[in-house]
Amino acid sequence: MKEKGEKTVRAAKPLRNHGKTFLRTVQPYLFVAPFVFFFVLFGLVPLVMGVVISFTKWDYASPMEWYGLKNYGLLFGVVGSGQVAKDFWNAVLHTLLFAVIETPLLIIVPLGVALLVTKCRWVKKFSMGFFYFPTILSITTVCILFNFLLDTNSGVINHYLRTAIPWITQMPYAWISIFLLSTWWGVGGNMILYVAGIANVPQELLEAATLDGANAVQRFFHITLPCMKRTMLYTIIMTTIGSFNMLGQSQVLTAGGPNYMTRTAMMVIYDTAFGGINNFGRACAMSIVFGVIMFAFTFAGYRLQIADDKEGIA
Amino acid sequence: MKKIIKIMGLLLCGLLSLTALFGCNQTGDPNNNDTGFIVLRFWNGFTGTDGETMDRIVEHFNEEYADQEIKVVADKIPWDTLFTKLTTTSSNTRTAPHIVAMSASRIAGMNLRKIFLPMDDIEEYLGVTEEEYLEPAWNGGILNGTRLGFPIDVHPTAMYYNKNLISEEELPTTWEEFRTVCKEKTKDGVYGWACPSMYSITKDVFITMLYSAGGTLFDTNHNPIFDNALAVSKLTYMNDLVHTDKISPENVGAGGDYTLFTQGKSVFYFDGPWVINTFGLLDENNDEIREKIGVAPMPETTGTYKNFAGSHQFTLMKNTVTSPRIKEACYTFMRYVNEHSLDWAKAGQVPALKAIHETDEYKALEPLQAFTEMAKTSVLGEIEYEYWYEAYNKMGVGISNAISGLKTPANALKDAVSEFKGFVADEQI
Repeated sequence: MKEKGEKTVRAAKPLRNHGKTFLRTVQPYLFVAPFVFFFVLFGLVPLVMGVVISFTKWDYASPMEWYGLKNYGLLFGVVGSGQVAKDFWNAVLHTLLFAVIETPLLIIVPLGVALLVTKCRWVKKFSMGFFYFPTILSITTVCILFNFLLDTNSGVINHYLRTAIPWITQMPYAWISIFLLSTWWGVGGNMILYVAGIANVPQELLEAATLDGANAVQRFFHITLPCMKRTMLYTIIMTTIGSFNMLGQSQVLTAGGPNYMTRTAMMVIYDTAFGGINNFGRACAMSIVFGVIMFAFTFAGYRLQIADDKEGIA
Repeated sequence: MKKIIKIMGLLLCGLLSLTALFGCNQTGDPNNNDTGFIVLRFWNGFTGTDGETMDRIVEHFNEEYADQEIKVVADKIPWDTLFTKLTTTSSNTRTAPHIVAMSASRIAGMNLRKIFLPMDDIEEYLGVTEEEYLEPAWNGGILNGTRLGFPIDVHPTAMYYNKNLISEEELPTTWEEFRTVCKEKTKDGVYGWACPSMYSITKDVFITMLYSAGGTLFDTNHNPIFDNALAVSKLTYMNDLVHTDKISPENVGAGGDYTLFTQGKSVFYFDGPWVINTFGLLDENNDEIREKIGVAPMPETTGTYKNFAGSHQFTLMKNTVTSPRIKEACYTFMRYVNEHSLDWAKAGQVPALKAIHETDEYKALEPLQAFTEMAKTSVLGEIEYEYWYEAYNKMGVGISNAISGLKTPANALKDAVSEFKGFVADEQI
């Protein structure tokens, strides 16, 4: 009996040590496993499938047909009538126009609003809700609301301005309406982030600056803003991506018009995939080309911000 | 720590099992059994009053056919989403529908995906004949000699008018009369017609003018000809109404025509029969609205004239209607809807079954009579061509560009045709 017991003790010890080592090795992987699982399922697999599908002609219902580089050829006008290339690149240009104007608007305006909300405490409670409210509305609701407001002949805005501005049906007003709508809709989201960023600025720095004679503008540019760089970086990246993905405003408010002039890349991709003709292969090729453009812009913004950070540290 | 690992492990296993469950190819329809309840999934895009009415018809059907073990589950999906969902789920026999209601103009395009089950035996099974149905609706479901759709209704575009601004005797029956009447009535902030410049009903008015004058969108070889002299003359007429005669305000957006009409600022308004219920014209307790709004056929659309209309059709899906028993159940439901289409008429549609039009109850639906008259001479367009719907939309952009003053009518239509040709060329690579 004794011998048997001794054997058991001796055998169990190294096993337990081995188990602990194994556990230490595996533990971090288990922690990241849920993320990896969802990332692979909803991020990596669709991306790889998208690349594969972009080389095919596929309407989802019929069997997939190998198409080689034809989809990309159509996008760059190398093959075909050039109609696909014209539609796509015009839409990309419209998207760039939107992103270049709307992104700074959605960075600067919410910052101003956040400062106002933070500094003027007596309006804080009211204004936070007031500015954040549009963000909780769906884009369709917002577009229908603006349609009533901006209608040329029976809209509220023209009624009070006593004008007949074609806000939705003519250029450049259609774009102005989209910018107005997008800014009104998007201010609240970034404002909340900025309010949190401002709250995290160390008070002792601000107090020291005040004692040193810095005025409000100097405190903002030399203390508040540098302390909010991380928040700024996040909002710049997210807003840039959001601007590139603009779809609802053009789809519902202007229907891409007049004469396709507010049609964005996402709208063309959506129409190609889910319009009358379900050309998933071509839509995937468009998504990949547009994704590369989007990545280049977002990365450039990120690099600029990082470079700025390093300069600041130096 | 052990606990955490166990939980994490269980969580992962659960997730993987769930994924496996959702991901596996779901086949094996319980409807395929020889006995037991048949549950038919019926997809449609009817919203508003027509959606509620269709739901009621389905409910009554389920009550009446419970003993025959047929049950229909109706699913209302907005039209655009419906076609997307249909494309992506058509191969999944557990979730794909058995019956789908859709516009006849979408059948040819959707048929490229080979999802429909032909219904060439339906006449024999239901014992129906062509004479019993409105001709455009009956033919609208036939594609290259094969029946892919079975008719529900026809919906032309008619002319609503404000009775406070125009009497019945003054109503125009030709487009020249329309111009004259509108010019007379346009004063003191009131317009003859608010012609929308965005992609909307304007294209249906234009296409009706074109068909009633003997024109078409395509020649017999499916070459687009909606930029020919006849089409340009019709668009020039519409353009002149806005920019020369000024019987319409400029830059009327989508929905702007409806708003101005309901505000009493325009005499005429063009739209489909479903708007009858939006206005409340069939509301028995609302005589006031019937004294204010009337409905008449659009000029030059009855008698010897043709007019453009749409038609809803039932279609069957080949991946789900896999046995004669299921098909018969589908046919039974389709016949039931046809036979009960007086209710469908009250939802603001012109039933395809002519016998319904002869009933006293239908004749009492006074606002529908103009649509019914037009439905008899309707054409659905060259919808057997798979790219008809795309041509129709590109033409719509051309019309919008002309009415907005962005292009001349000739250039607007020429560019629309050119874009459509480019689209077809790229599709056929």
